Amino acid sequence: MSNVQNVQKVSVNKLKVSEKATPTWWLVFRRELTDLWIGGKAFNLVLIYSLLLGGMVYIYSFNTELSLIPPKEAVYEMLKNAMAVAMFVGLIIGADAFSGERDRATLESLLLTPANRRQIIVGKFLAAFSIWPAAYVIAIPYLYVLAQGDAVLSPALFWGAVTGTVLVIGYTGVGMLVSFWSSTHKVS
Amino acid sequence: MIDNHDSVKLDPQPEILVAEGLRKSYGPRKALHGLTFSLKAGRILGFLGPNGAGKTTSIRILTTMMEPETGHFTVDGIGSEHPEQIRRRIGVLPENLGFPRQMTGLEYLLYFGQLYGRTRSEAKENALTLLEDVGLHQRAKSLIGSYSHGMRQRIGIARALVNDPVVVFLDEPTLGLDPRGQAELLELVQRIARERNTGVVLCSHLLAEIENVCDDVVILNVGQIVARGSVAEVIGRVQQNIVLRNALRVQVPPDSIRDARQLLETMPNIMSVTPVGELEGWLRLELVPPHNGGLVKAHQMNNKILSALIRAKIPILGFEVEGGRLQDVFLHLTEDAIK
Repeated sequence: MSNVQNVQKVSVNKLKVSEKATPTWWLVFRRELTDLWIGGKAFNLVLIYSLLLGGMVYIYSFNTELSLIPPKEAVYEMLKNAMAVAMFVGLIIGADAFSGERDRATLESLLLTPANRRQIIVGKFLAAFSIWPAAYVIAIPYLYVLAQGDAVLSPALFWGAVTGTVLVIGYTGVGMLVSFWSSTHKVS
Repeated sequence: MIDNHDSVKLDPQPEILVAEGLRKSYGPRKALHGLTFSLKAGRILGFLGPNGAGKTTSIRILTTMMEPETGHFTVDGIGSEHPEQIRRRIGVLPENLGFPRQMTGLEYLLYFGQLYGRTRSEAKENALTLLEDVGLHQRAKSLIGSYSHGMRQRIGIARALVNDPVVVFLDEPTLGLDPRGQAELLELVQRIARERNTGVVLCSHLLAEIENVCDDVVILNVGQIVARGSVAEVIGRVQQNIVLRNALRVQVPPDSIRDARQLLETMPNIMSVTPVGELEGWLRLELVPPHNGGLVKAHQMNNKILSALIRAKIPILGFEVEGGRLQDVFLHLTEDAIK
C-alpha cells in the first residue's frame, strides 16, 4: 500500500503547477523587452529615430522658408513625422516577433511549452509596443523647441499621445500578423 | 481518490506513450501510414529511418506541433485531444534547436521553468540541479553564445527536462558532436531513462550507438513501420534473411592479416577474403551460399573458420556475422528507400 501511495505522490508532484507562478505574458514581455533594449535592437532604432527628428527640427529652424511656418503648424507637422517614424519602427519590431524567432529556431521551444498562446502574443506585443513611449518622450524636447512658447504644445502632446498610441498599436499589430504568417523573417 | 491518470502509474512499467494508427499526408504524398507503437516508462526507444521516412513528422505529431489526419495517441494516459496537458508531460529537444545567445544557461532554464508554472525560487532550484545533472554547473552563469556545440546540446536536454517530463523526445541529439561528445551525451540519455524513470524517444542515425543505448526500436521506411520491438527481437527476426547472404567479418592483429588472409583463401567454401580496414585488422569473408538448411551450414562454416585460425595460432580479436548488427538490419529493411 505504501508503495502505491509513493508512486501516486511522485506523479502528483511531477505535474504540480504553482499558484504563485508568474503569468506567461509577463515572462514573455520581460524577456522580449530585455532582448530588444539590452540586445541593442530597439536602442539602435531609437537612436536613428532621434537623429531623424533632430535633422527635421534643424531644417524647420534654420531653413529660410520653413522657419516662417507658424509654431502651431510646425509642431503638428513634426508630430506627424514623429508618429510616422514610430509607426514604422513598431512595424519592424512587430514583424520580427515570430518570423525572427522562427529563423533563429527559438520559437519551437517556446511553443512546446504549455504556455497559453494568447499570453505569448500579448507579451510579445507589449514588448514591441514599448518603443512608442520611448519615441514619444524623445519627441517632447524637439516639439518644445518648435513650439517657441506657444500654447499649442499641451494639446499637441495630448493628441499626439492618443493618436500615436492608437496608430502604433495598429501598425505593430499588422507587423505581428505578417510575422505570424510569414515563414521567414526575410518575407516579413 | 485515484483518477484515471494516477491509476496508470500503479503498473511498475506502464505504457506512457501509446500511438495508434497515426496518418499524415502532405498533398498527394503520404508521410505516415498508420503509425502504431508504444513506449514504457524508463525505456529508451530508438526511432530510426532513412531521410524522408516520416520520423520528423511522427515526432511533430507526438509533441503536439502538428495534428494527425487520423489516429490517436496518449501520453501518460492523456489523449491527443488535450495538447496543452500533453505539453506539460513531455520534454523535447528538436533537431537544430536555436538558443538565445545573450542569456546565461541559468537564466535560460529559469525562464522555461517559470513558463511551466514554477515559481522563480522553485525554477532556480530546479535549474541548478539540472545544470549539475548535465555537467554544466560550472558554466551556469556563462552566456549560451559562448557555449560549444556539445554544451548547447546539453543545455537543450536540461531544458527538455525542466518540467520533469514522463516522455522525452530527442531528435538527433548527437548531430555534429565529436565521438567523445556523442558517447557522453548518450550516457546522459541512459541516465535520464534509468534514474528518472522517464521514457525516451531517440531519433538518430548513429546505429551502433542506438544499438548499445536503446531498449526498443522502431524502424520506419516510407511512412510505415517495417520493424518494431526490442533491439534483440528486431535483429533476431530479420537476421535469418541477411545471414543467407553468407558474409562475416573477422578481426585479427594488423601484423597477422597477411597470414590470416592466406590461410582463409585456401579454405573451401570461401569465395573471397577482403580487408575492411587494414588499420583495424578486419577481414570480410564471403562464403559460398549453402543450398539447404543454410543457417545451420553457415554456423558450421563459422566454426570451421574460427578453428582454422586458432590452429594457426592467429589471435582472433573480433568476429561478426554480417546481419547480426542493427546497422545490417536497418540497411536490409530500408533498402528500397536507400536505392
